[in-house]
Amino acid sequence: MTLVIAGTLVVFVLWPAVNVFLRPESEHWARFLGSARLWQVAANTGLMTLLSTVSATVLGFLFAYALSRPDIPGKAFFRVMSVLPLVSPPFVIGLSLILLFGRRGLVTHELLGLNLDVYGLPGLWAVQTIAYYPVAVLALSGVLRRQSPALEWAGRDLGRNWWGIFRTVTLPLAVPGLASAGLLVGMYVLADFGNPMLVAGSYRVLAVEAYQQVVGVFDPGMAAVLCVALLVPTGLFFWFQRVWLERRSYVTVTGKESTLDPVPTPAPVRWTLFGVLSAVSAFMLLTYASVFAGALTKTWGVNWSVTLEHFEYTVLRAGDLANSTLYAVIAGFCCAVLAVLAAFFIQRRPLIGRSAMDMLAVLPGALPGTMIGIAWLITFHTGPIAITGTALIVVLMMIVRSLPVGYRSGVSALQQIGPSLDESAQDLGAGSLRTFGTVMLPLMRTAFTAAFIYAFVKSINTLSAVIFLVSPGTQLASVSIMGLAEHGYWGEATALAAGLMLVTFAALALFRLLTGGRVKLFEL
Amino acid sequence: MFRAKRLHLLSLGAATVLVLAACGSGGPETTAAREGGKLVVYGALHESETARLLKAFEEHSGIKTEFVRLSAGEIVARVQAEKAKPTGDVILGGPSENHQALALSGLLQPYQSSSAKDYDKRFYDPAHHWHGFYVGALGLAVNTERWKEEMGGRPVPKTWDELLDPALKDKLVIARPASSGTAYNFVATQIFRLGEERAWEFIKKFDTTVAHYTDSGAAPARMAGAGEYPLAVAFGHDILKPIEAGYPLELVYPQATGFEVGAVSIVKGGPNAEPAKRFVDWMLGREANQLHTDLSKRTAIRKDVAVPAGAVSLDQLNLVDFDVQWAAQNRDKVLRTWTEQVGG
Repeated sequence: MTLVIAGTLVVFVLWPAVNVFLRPESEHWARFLGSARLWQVAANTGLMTLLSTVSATVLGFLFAYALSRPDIPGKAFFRVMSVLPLVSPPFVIGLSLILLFGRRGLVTHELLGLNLDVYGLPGLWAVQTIAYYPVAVLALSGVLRRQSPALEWAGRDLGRNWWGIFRTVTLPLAVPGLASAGLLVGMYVLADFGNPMLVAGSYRVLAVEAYQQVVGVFDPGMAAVLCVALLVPTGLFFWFQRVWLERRSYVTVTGKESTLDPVPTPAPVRWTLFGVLSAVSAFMLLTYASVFAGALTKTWGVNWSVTLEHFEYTVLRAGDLANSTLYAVIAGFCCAVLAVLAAFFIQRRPLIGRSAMDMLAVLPGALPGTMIGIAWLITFHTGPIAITGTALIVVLMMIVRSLPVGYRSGVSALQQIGPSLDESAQDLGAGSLRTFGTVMLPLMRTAFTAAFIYAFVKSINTLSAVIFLVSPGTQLASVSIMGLAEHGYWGEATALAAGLMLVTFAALALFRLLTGGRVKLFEL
Repeated sequence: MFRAKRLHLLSLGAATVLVLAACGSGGPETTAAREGGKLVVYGALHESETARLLKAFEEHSGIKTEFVRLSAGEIVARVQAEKAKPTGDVILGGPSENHQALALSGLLQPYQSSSAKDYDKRFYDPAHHWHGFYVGALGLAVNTERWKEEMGGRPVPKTWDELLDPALKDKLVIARPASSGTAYNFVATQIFRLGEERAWEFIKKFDTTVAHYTDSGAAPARMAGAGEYPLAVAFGHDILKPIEAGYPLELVYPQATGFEVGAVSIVKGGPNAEPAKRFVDWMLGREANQLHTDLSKRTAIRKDVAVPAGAVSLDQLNLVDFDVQWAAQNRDKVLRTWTEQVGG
């Protein structure tokens, strides 16, 4: 099994990456290092990433914390809101921000009479925070839920108040989760180019620069150099996290569990939390409402009459919607299985090159989608594994692209599970697979669910990487949406986006029904 | 029982992964079989336009077709990445500079179409790597509501030079030349119009008029349409879209304006070489050109195409003497100068 996982990672992650990174010549490097402008772009990228990562991780932590407490009001609602931004096609959040809060936005201009400029760092920061906090929620919720209430009660018995317990017990024990969340959010923010292209204005970032090098200047060598530059901060953070986390123990699941309820949250904390989350949720709902409103109105900003004509196109593209859904379901399931298996076998089984494997499992998140797409096209077009033009390559790409979140959720979960548990299973004669199936998998259930949700929802919306891999028979809805948006057919684009979101919600509800609540999709 | 079920689920999952991996080795044959005889088109035109054109071609020739829609830049990247074994046959649409970039790396099949004799030499590659079939002229989009609000009764600018007026400071949006063919076209237009030295003086002054540089070439027209700014520079067809949708825009073609040539070309070594040639012959002909013009309102290069309402004919445009070859070959140099003179 270990070999299968290692093989998968080497073939589908390492090989394409190496294929691309061997391209740049020293001339490209000289041009990058010698360009004052690109250094400025790199500095911009660093600042934007730092701000967005911190804010998205904090917001994600607030959501996850609220969901782990039984006494926060409106939990069922927040549970849905915590992952809602995932259920949106690529350009939607940025676009809604412009439609609602831009210079001629519905809220800022029409209602408040302001002439606000969202383009630039503040707008981008807001969009990235909203777009990526769900990743932090997914990485953190399992960790917070598995913290043993006994430890908090012990703190309470020693005379600590809520803040004291939070500071000395809850927060320190959540460090592996926070580190995972920060790593993932930072990585995705670094590599994202869709949102910056729409709202960053004159504020340049590296991922956009790399994208332009590929599709504007046709210089993949320079693009590869910029991608390597994107990998540097990720690599540093990764290394830092390993060194720091491995010195400590975060085990809270030891097989000797108690069944206490968590320590109650004091009213001021409870209501502050409620207020903050409500504000974010309101903003999210407004965003989503604007997409559906955009799909239903004739021309946004000019002619507000209600029409269904944009949906005619959605019906025409029903085939694309079906393709997207089918592939995403397959990818979601395979990714969840692969993610927890990989987490277990890489973290808990003897393995040569463990840290290399660990890094490979998150690498697909650290690169801009365009680069991975091209790398796959080059690697799998000819040679031993020639699979371009098939649906398989699209599904595989979806699996690999979503792997980092599932894998890291699995790793954070494992860091809380004492090794004594799997050692006992082995002492009783269980093999690796059986130990995994009977002991670990049930304990890693939230990680499995998180991986599945993330992979399904991300895959159905994926764009940048698959655009180079789709072939005539395997068109996807997200690709069509971008095509429409690019040519300025906003009505049709939002209608198709709305259709895609409805399908996503329907599918999530259906899974919940089918699994009879055993795999509770929103039980994060 | 419960545990056994879990294991079951797991092994099912593992099996799925393995089966998927196994499918991988069986993949290529099925693809090859499916693609046999079907002309594969990479289309940069709008999806519905491409679909209608290909349907008409199928009826005309009996050749089956299929297409993928990508942006013009993505097509170049994709064809470059697939060069070991091309899968596309024809590239339909997109500016000639992109076709030229592929021609320079030897990825296009030169083909002297019999239909090319109807065309002015300015609009196709002398080596016949690509042939243009439509022209997109640069235009100025004026949001009439916002213009009145901010500028009162002042007349709308009609020439490029009027845009340098200090009263227009921060009133205009245009894309960034390095990321957008539209904006590069604008810079090249000024060079052909004024000569290099004076063109750079113009562009430096023009920078004060620009409030905002976007990445996408079509975005400025949309932003002016929504009233975010009163003025935008974009290709005429990108301005006509929001006008058709009902936005309060006026389209002005300034004197001596630049243009892009939308082209069609054949991928070297593509799976269906002969059908690809037949497609190019048909696409450059009158029937296909009329259909494309009716669908898109772009300006056809052929003189025998009827001009639909809302479009302009080639004769009505006052075009600058635009040297497509020069523009393609000097792109790097011009962009570098732009970065030095104007900045990021």
